[in-house]
Formats: sequence, structure tokens, C-alpha cells
Amino acid sequence: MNGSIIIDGGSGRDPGLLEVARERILHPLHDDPEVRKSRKVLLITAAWQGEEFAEAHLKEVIYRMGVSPQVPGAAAENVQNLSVYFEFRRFAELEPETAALYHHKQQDVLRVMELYRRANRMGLQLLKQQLASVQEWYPEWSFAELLDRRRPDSSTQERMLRLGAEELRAELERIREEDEWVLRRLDRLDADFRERADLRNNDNWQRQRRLLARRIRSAATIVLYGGHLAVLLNRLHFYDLGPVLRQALGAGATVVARAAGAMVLGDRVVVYHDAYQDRHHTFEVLGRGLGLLPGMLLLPQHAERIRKGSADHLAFISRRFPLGTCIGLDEGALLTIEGGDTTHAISRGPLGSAIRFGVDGRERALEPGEVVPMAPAAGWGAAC
Amino acid sequence: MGGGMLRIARLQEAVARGNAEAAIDQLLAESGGPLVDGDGVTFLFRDADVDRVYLRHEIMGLESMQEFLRLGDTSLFYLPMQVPATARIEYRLEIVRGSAHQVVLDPLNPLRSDCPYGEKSVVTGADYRPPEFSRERPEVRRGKILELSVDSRVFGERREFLLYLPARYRSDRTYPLLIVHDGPDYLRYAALSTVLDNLLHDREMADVIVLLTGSPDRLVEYKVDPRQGDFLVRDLLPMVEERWPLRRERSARCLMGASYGGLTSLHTFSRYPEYFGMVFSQSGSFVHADVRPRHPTEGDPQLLADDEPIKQFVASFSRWKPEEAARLYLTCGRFESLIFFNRSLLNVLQEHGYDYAFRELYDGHNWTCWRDGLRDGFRYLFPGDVLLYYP
Repeated sequence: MNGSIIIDGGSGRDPGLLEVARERILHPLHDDPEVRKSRKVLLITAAWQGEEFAEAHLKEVIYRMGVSPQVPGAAAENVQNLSVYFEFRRFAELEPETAALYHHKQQDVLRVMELYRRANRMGLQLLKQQLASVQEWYPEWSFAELLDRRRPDSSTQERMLRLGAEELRAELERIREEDEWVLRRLDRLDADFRERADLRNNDNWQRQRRLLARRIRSAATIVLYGGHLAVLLNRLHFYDLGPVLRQALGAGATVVARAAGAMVLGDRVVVYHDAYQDRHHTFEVLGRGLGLLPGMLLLPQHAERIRKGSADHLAFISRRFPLGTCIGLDEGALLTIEGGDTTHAISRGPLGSAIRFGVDGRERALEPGEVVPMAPAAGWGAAC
Repeated sequence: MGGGMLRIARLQEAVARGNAEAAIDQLLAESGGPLVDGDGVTFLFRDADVDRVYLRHEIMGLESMQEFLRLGDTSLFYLPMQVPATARIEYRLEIVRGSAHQVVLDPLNPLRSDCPYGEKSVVTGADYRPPEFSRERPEVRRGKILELSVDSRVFGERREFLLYLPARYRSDRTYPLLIVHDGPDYLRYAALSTVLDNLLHDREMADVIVLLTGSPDRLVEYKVDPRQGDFLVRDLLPMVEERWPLRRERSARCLMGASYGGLTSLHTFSRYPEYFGMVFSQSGSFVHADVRPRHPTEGDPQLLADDEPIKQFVASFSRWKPEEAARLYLTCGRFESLIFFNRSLLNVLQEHGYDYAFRELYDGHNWTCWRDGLRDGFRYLFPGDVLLYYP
């Protein structure tokens, strides 16, 4: 039996995220009978940064559901915080030299991102200008139609359309190459840091990772709240917890997530805000995710962040990233991936709470019970 | 013809029918004044005993007094004006009875502006909305404002100031510093603390500590008076940096102000570029003249004497190229005469390699205009992590 992922479209620190998983919290399907019996819940609130432990209200709700505060027959906490933000701060105190190396690496990350951001903006501007020119000549053609145009030339107009479409495809490809480029650079910076810091042989790091992994493996339900996306992602990556979470899912754990907590689960993490700073349409790759939602790009809080009304803009978003499905989530949205089957997700929220962005630039509201295909993947059971 | 003028046309028909006063009663009961539509504004005034009515405004490029038209021999006066849909205009009315002139607020318009220079009536274009970011929201945690004072060696007296600490303030973090001239006025008339609370809550701007300073004689101290910059650098900065966790690099310090406050911000920046790397100027009084008398006694002596130090400063600033990078954000109302001076400064900023942005608003030289420009300026100078924040 493999585990499940439940994605909630809500936002904030309220217990609503727990309520959507109430049944699973009370009746876990974990392979390990001890874990199943304990019904242990692990909260991941690192995205709240300095307020990581402001989760007493959540613990209260879980106790009221009927989950014992302590592991039956033991003194250990049964509703626990992963405390990865806190552990990282402690690591920085214990290992100031390694922390300084990490800080330098993060400074380099910021510089790489600055270069990428500039290239990204210029690429987007150029693509918009090229599209505007082509559409000035052929106003009836949308961006999606131009990109998908494959007919042979039968007139001078057809030839010009083909040339225009080729130009747009080339620009889009350049933007996608930049996205790949920044991921490779970030990978290299991280690998350099790990090698220089010799992290794998650092006693404190090993000890903390073992502790964190134990907390994850002993949980029947793992709940990830939103907040600061980069902080959450960086802390989980620092301790290389992606494979541990994957293993927990492989063992039948349930992962429940919303907002930033859901975004880190994907193959790659994309940040977006159409009205950010200079009001330019901002979509950027932030880094690799934990890889638990293969082929799916989740866009929580899309209604307030993504400018609607332009099919060309939406078509661009859904085509830019090499992912199978692009889903916008709003309050009430609920997606589930059941039984370790990562080939598809099922929408369980009311009509319209989740939106699928089509490559044609159209938004389509997911029906309750609708199956959303995802990319086939190896599954979650791989050992870490 | 816009909706306002259509209604006037209907009143003219009523004049012809002889029932104009009843039609005016109905119009004012339904709409009050002024009438706003997509094409502009029609100002209204009603008093049968008045000889003439003028609109007193400060819209640059228009005669400062615009005379109303009288609707036949009725009691209604009106003045149609084309106004951009996002515009906001502050005005008063001047009423003439015989030889008596009286300046009044528009009795048909309940909308008022409050500012240190006295109340004015306000009318806005069809699409103007007070910004959401200046509205108090119950879910937003408020920053803390501390009342402090410093013994100023520069001014030789005790000076009071305020310090805004963001709601998420933690003593183990370090923060950039924003110094706001006319700080108490910014709090009172431009809702500065609410704007900061909201933008910080929404992560649209980075957490900052804000030092709000005032002056007992701003027309002197803010007018390129070197003591003001000395006061900031020698008296205030050492004190606040000792007591609060502030970043010490110049790129994390910003000077801000409106009108003369913008002027003194730029002036202090140019005198202490090693201390300050950012300036936020709103309707900065950057009066300049490329050609001007060599001696202040030529021309209007008082006027020249008043503006001469500013002109000299702007001229020297235009020649000065800073050695290190600086980030500037400027706003100005399109209806104020300072728009020309602010626009002409942009060439200088471009030539000297500043990282800058400029925004024009359809408004005048007033606190509401400055409030409305706060969000974009703060987002530009202190970009927040909204892009990374998914709560």
C-alpha cells in the first residue's frame, strides 16, 4: 500500500487544512501497524519562520479529533512539529563555519537569480513584443494558435504566419532554456557547497537529519502549511528530506498540504505574481521541488496573483514549463493522489475551486470527481 | 456630451419651459454636486443672490480662477471641465456679491481634504478610488510607534521624533532605515503607518524601521539648509543605530519627503552620499533655472532671494555624478507646476546612471497625492518577498 497526498486550496494558518484530512488522520493507512495505531500527526510549519511553533491551535484541534497527545505506551509526542526551521538555526549556532559557507552559497544563489530574473524579464518582453507585431498583422490569431500552427504554406500570408510562429516558438524556447539554465546553476552551487562543507560527514548535520527523518517516518499524517516558500524549500533541501518524505509516502503515510506547503511537493517550484514590483508578468523558476507530484504545476492563490482576461498570457503560462498539468487552486479546492498512483489526481472540491489552465489559453473549471492526468513516475517507494 | 452636460442641457430645456427651479431642486436632490461622468466634472453652485462664482484651484496650465456660467437667470451656476478619469482635484469657490469676495468650500460637495494648509473641497474623476493599501484592515498587525527625542548638537536644542517598528520586528534581525521628513504630517495626512502596516503584512515591501522627523521651521531648515543633513547624520543616526538593529550600509538607508521634504532629502543625499543610497521624493521642490540673474537683486528681489539657494543646489546637483550607485523614486502631481522641474531632473538622473523611477499622478501638491504614490515607491525601494510568500 502506498500513501496519499491531499492538496487543499485554502490559505492561512487555520485548522481547515486538518479538517480536510480528518478521516485520514483518524483512520491512517500506513503500512507499519505501530504508526497506524499511533495516528501520529507531524506538522511542518517552517514556512512561518520565526513563528514556527505558533501551532498550539492546530495541536488543540488534532487532540479534539481524538488523536492522543502522546504515542500510546510511550512518552514521545504524538502530535509533533518537524521543527526544521528551529533545527537549522541550531545548526548555524553549532557549526558557524558551515553556516557561513551556506550563507555565502545563498548570496551566490541571489546573484544567479538576479541574472536569471533580468534575462527572464527581457525574454518575456521580447516575446510580448514579437507577439504584438505578429498579431498586428494577423489579429485573428491567438498565441496558442500560432504556436500550434503546422499547416504547409499555401499563400504568402501563410508563409508569413509560419515565419511569425517560428519566431515565437524560438523566443519561447529561449525562455525555457533560461529556466533550465538557472536550475543547473542552482544545482551546481548546491553541490559545490555540500562538497566544500562536507555535509554528509558532518556529525551535527547527520544527527539532525536522523532526528528529522525519524520524525517523518514515525508519522501517519504529515501536514505542510504555507508561508515563506523559499524558507520552507531551503530548509527541507538542506537536510535532504525529499527522499525521506518520498519513503514515508511509499510506506503509506498521508501528506496534506496547502499554499507554499503544496508548491514544494512538485518537480520544480515556480513563483508568480503578475503585479509584482514593476507590474511585469512575473513567473520565475525558484528551484527544484521535492518531486512528489510529477508533472504537475500547482498555482495556489492564482485568483489574486495571475492576471486573467488574456488567453495569450494563460497559454504562455501553461506552455512554458515542461510539466503535464497546470492547476490553479482557490479556497475550497481539493486534489487527492491516492494509493501511490502518481499518474493522476482527482479533484474533490466544488466546481470552479480548481482551474486547469489549458495550452489553448483557456481556463477550465474542474468538476467534482474529475481525473487530472499527471506524468507517470517511478512511484514513491524508492529508498533514500 | 457627457452625463453632466446632458443634465445641464435638460435644465436648459426646463428654463425654456419655465420650471427651471423645480428641475434644479430635483437635480441637486438626486446628485448633489459636482456631477461626475466619464468625460469629466461639472461643478455646480446655487445662490440667486450671487453675481459671479469662480473655481479656485491649483491646476497648472489653467487660469487659477475659472468663472462659472449662469443657467439663464436661474439661481444655478455651473462649470463643465474635462478631467481625466483617474484625476483628483482640490478646490474652493470664490463667491462675488457686488464688491464683496468670499472664498468658501463647495456647499454642495461633502467631500473634503484635510491638510496643514486648511480644508478644501475635493472632486475625483469617474475612475478614481482611494487606494486599498491606505485603508485600515482588522486582520493586519500594526507596527509600533515610539515617541523619542534627541539633544541636537546641530540645532542646539532638544528635538522630538518618532520611530516606527514593524509588527514583525525582532531584535535579532537587522533592518534598513527609512527617514521621513515631515513624518508626523505623513502619519496624519497620508496614513503612513496604515500604508506601512498593510504593505508589510502583504509582504509587498521588506520590513523597515522608519524614523519620522519633523521641523519647527521647515521652510528654513528644509530649504537646502545644511544643518538638516548634519542633524540627521550627526545627531539622529548615531542614536538610533546604537539602540536599534539597523543595517549600516548606505544602500540600506533611504531619505524621504514631500515638497521641501523631497528637496532636503535630495540635498542631504548629495552631501552625504556615503551615508545614504536611496531617496524617495514626492513633489520635490527642485526649482531651477538654467538662465538666471547673477545677483538676487535683479528681478523680484524677494522671490529671487527665496528660490536662489534652491536653484543653486539643483544646478550643482545636476553637475554632480555620484561615485556609488543610488536608487531614487520620484512622484509628482500632473496638476502642479513642480511637474516641469521634476520631469527635467529625469534627464540628469538618466545621464548620471541613477537607478530611478518616476510616477506622475493626476493630482496636485497635496497629501492625498503623496499618499497615493506611497505603495509604488516603497515597493520599488524596499521590494518585499510577496513573490516568495504563499501563506
